[in-house]
Amino acid sequence: MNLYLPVAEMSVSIFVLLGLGGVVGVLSGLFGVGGGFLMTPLLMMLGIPAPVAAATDANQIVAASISGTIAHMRRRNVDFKMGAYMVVGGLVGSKLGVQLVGYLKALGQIDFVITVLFVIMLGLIGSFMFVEGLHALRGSSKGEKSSKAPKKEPRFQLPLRTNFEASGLETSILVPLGVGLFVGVLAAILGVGGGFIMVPAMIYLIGMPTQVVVGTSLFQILFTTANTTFWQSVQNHTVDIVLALLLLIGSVIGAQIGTRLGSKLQGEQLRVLLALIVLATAAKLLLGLVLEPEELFVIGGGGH
Amino acid sequence: MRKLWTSLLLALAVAFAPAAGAALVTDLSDTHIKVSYHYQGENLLVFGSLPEKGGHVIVEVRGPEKSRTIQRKGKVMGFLWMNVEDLTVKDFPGYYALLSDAPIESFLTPEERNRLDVGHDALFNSAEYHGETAKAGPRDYFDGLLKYMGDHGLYQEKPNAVTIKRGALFRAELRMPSRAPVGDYQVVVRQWKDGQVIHRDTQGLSVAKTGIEKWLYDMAFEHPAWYGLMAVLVALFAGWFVGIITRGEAEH
Repeated sequence: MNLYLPVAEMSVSIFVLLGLGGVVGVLSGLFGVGGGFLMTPLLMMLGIPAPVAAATDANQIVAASISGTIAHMRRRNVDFKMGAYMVVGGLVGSKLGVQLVGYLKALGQIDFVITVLFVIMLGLIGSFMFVEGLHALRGSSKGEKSSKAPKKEPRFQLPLRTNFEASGLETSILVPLGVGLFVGVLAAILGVGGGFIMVPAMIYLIGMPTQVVVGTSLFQILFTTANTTFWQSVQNHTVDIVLALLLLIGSVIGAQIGTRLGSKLQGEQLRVLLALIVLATAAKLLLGLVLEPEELFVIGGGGH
Repeated sequence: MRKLWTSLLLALAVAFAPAAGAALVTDLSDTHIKVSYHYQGENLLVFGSLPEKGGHVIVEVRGPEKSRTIQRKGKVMGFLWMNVEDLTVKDFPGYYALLSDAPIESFLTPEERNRLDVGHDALFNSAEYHGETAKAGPRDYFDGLLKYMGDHGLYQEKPNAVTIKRGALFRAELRMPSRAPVGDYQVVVRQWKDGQVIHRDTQGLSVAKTGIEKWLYDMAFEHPAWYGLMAVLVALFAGWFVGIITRGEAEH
């Protein structure tokens, strides 16, 4: 059964889209990752134009993060002060990112930039997870992990320091602003939530206690992806609501399956498996960049 | 307006030239193609009656014109393939199909094809190009565009797709893919004999989005701020709703 996507302007099988959402959902249920970093490249491989894939994915993440944000707020797992600075950074960053997408689209380089950024990002994340997973599989001692213990005292001091009571720490507001800004730009260009960057940054760079990290990051993601969705719609017309909803349905079902599977399967082996999936996706995208393309001429930027 | 004049002239020609006999009459299996949520493209039948026996029948379908930018990929830094140059073709049909009862090269000379503006060479000659290109000529870009359109079913040249029955009836079937652009199309049927067009008929065809597809598309492009707001609100509601359902399930 096919469905015509109103903004992507193409007919795609419903089952393929539900399946895609499902696969990413299973992964996110298994590993507790957002999965946006796999969704956009997979959509691109289906033939959805890269900017539509990224913007629609941001729309899907809005839906995927609202429930979690509410739940974490109820459990008081959100540092609102820290979150507010990160949101401000995220709003500015995502607006800048959308602007950049429009500029690159006009230049005809948006697909290239999105692909290159994904190759770098997935390559780094995949390698890191692979090494981590192998270490865990070999049953290496916990002592190793303590070497990455949160640094409470940064080497240099940025101005505008303030106290964050909920996290029990003092730092410059420029740090959460900067992290939020960076993640916001990524959210707009790649259609990812950015949790995989924000969470380590909050733990290792800011030194936030782990119980508020996930909630605060979800809080930031919710606002940033909502802002991205809005401005992508206004400036680039690349958000496809129908596609976003289908992906959401698929990913919700997938996440349920993933959570149940996760409790029955071995965590470390799964982590290596996810790392391999991420690396394979990166390799596929990389091949597209370095192999001589079948078509030397491509039609881009139609409609102007 | 031009269409009105053509039909007026045609009516006059029919009325004042009884010697010419009956006119070429054509019809389409569908003149208003509706793109709805289950649209997967459509097979279109062009058929009609020929007033005179003999000659050849050419069916030409042109989609709405728009400018297309063609990017050429090249190697950068010795290993990366990226878009390096582009050329814009002005007002090029977003869909083009040329169907005939025999290869058009077999009965039309290049000059005649140019004069009628049918076929890829004529399209190339009549198109307007903008852009500075160093390594490849306009024809390379043009061929790239036709290859791309051909791969997506947006460009078709079918030399044997028109069948003529007893020299009086013709029919041709063509495929409108789901990617065919929305807008107004023109279907021109020509009967060619003894080095000239002896009969010609033009039919309009429209491809338009309908229902929720139309509404969403119009919103996205004409009221983008409202569309963006809607996308956010729909996502928030859907996500919240789904959260309630799944949490309910988890408690069982």
